[in-house]
Amino acid sequence: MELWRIAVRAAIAYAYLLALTRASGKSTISQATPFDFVVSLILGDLIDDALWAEVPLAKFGVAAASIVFCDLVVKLAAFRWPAFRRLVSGDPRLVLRDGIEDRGQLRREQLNEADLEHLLHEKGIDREQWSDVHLGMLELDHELSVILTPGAKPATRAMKEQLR
Amino acid sequence: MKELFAATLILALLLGCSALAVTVFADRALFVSPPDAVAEGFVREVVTRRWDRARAYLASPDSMPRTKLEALRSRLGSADNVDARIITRNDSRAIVEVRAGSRVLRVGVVWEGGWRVEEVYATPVYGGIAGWVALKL
Amino acid sequence: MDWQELGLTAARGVLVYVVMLVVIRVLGKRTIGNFSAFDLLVALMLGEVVDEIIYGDVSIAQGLVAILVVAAAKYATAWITYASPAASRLLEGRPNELVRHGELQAKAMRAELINESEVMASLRLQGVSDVREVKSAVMEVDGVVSVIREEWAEPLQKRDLGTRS
Repeated sequence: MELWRIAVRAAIAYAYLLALTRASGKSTISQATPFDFVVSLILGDLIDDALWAEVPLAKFGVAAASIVFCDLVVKLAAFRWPAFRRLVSGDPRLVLRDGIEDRGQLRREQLNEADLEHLLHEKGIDREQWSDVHLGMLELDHELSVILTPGAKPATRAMKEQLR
Repeated sequence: MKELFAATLILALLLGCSALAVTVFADRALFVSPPDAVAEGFVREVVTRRWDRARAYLASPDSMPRTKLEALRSRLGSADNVDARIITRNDSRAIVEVRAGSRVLRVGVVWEGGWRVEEVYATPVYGGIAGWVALKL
Repeated sequence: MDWQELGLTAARGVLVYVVMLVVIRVLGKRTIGNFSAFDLLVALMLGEVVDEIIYGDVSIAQGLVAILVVAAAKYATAWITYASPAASRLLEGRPNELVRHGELQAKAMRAELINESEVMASLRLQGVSDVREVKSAVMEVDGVVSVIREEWAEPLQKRDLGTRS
C-alpha cells in the first residue's frame, strides 16, 4: 500500500474526528466521568482500521459519528433532565462529615476505610486531622473534594488586620 | 441542539466527499479499501478458517463454497504473515499477489461498488514470458 | 456506497454505546482518584472489543460475551479488593512511606525504584520546598506521592489567629 495513501487517510481521519468533536461541543470530549474517558478511547481506536483501509472511510465516518451522536443525545438529555443525569453519571457522594465517615456511602462506591485514608492522604490530611474535615465529597470523576471546618481553613490576608 | 446539526453536517461532508471521490473521480484506493487490502483480508480470513467472513469478501458468495475455501486453506497452511501487493489494476479489475507465510498466490478482484474477490490463481510455475501457467484453483 | 452496511454500522455504534454506558456505570466504582494504570488497561481492552463490534468484524454475540467477561472480571476483583485488605495488598499493592520526619527512607525508595531527585520533584509538585517540612510522604497505590506536613509547617489556619472565625 502506498505510503502517501496512508498519510492522506490519516490526515482525513484526524481532521474528521477533530471537526466532529469540536462540532459537538466541549461536553463530549470532557473527561468528567470514567465513561467520557472510555468514549474518547473508542473514538481514537476507530481510526486504526481506517488508516490501513481495512474499512472504507465512509464506514469509519459513520462509526465515529454514531458514537458522538449518542454521546450528544445523552449529554443533552442529562442537561435537560436532572433525574436522567443522575441515572447516567451518578451522584457525588458525601463520604466524610465532620470527621466521621459514612460507611454506607463508601460501600456503594466499593471503597473501604483504607481507601478513604488514601484519598485524604493525597489531600495532605492525616488520620488525626480528620476532625478538621467538614465535608468530604467523592465527586463524579472519583476525586475527593474536601471542605475544611471554618477554624481549619487557611488564614486570609484580610485577617492580618486582626493581628494588630 | 445546534451541536447535533453541526455534527450531522460534518458526517454528511465526509460521506459526500467519499461518494464524490468514488463516482466522479474514480477513486478506488483512498476513500475505499484498495484491492490489496481486500485481497489480504480475504486470505487472512481463509488462513484463520473464518469461512463466513471470507465469503463476505467474495463478489458472488456462491462462487466459492466452503469446500473450496477449505481446499485453499489446506494448500496455504497456517501463516503468520500475510502480505499483499498489487500486480496490475485498472478501474474495474485488479490482480493482487498475496504472500501467506511461504506460499504465494494471486487474487483477482473486481470492482462492484467496492473491491470484491473474484478468482484465486496459483502463481506462475515458471518465471518469464514462456512459462506462465495460470491455473484456476 | 453501501448504504445498508453503513446503516448497520450506525446501529451497532448505538448498541455498543448503550452497552458500554451500562457497563461503565456499574463498573465505574472503586477507581481511586483518576484512573489507575490497570483501569486504563481495562478501558483499552474494552475499547478494542467495542471497535471490532462496530465494524462488524465480530458478531454482536461474540463481542458482548467478551465485554461481559472482562467487565465481570473487573467487577469481581473490585469486590475482592474492597472486602479483603489482604487481597487489596496483593492485587493493588501497598503504599510505601518515602519520607519520614524530613528523612528520606532509602529502603522504601529502593522498593519503589524512585531516586532522590524524583522524590524531591514530587514534593515540589505538592508545594513543598524543604524536605524537613515533611512529616510523611507516601507513594500511594496509584503511583501518586501524597504529602503530610509537620505541624509547624502547616499553613496558618484561621483558628491559629485566635479570633472569632
